Amino acid sequence: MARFLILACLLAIVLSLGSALLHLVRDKGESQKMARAVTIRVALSVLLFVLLMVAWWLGWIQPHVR
Amino acid sequence: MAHAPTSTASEKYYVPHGSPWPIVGSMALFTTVGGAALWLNHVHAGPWVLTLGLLLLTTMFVGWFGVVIRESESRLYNEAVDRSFRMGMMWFIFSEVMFFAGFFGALLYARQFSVPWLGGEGTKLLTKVIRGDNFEAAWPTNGPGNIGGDFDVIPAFGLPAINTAILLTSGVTITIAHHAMKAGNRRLLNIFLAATFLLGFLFVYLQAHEYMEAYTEHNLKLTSGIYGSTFFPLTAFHGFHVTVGALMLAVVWFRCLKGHFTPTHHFAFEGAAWYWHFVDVVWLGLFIFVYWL
Repeated sequence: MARFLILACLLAIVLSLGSALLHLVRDKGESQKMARAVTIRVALSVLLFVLLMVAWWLGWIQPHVR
Repeated sequence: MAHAPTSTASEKYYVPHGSPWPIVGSMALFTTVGGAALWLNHVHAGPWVLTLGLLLLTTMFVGWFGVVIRESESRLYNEAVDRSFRMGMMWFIFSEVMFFAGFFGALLYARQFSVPWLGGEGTKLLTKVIRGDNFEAAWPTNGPGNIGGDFDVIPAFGLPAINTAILLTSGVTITIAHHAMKAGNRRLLNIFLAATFLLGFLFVYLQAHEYMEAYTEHNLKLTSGIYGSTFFPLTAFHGFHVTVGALMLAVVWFRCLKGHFTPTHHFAFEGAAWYWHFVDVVWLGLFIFVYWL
């Protein structure tokens, strides 16, 4: 479950980044769309980091050890 | 044949004439790669030739980009040139995505396929029988041969987690700078843009520290089998990209201080900012797949 959530969050981040690239190429700096897309990207990234920490704290995932 | 009507300067697609930078760039690349080849063949002059090539390359970048900035500020570029810059950025990013896809692909292949096969998974049981050892597939590993000797991985909660927090913070600061640019708030823009590239350089410094720790305390080296030879190239190339991104943002910052850009014309800022978001997301992927999952 935790893995699924983490990967889904990562996918959403990649999609929002892709959306920002599209606006960068198309909008010629005139609209707010790229700024909005990267804001979503950053918010999701912070959420993912928090999700990782919570998943570790709850014992759902463990970092690699050897 | 009818002649096209004479157009004004702003309608023409600006093409510079007599620029020395393309030939300087070619010579710089030839010298750099030649120097590297000489070095690999143990020719004494190799490192010096390589250094000369890198110096030439730096001169070319500074000179050429300086010319482009002056041309842009002189309003020599029209909408078609602007479109070319944006398309160029898109293809550059495409090549970057493919570059990292190769490295992440190597990691995926090693972890999900080749290492389990060596451990006898699926139809590869015979491989394990013929090898005749007791190699148990588990990640992280340096393979059945224990190549490079015993090693420890770098704990995710040490420098990697701190560096993740640093890059995430820089993602927030560049976004604040972006909104400030759009709103025409130059003071906020300058402060948060400076914070972004300083955080980037801090990340690179800590990454270098992490490598020293890996070599001296964990015996984790580039030669530590499949783990070492995927861990170091992935993280080092990412670190190189952070360095390039931070340099790009630093140049944009100096341009902001000089009063360049407007709320509607700031492609250099947007290009560098998007690149920063890209290296940030690549790091998130690295942090998750190298240290956690």
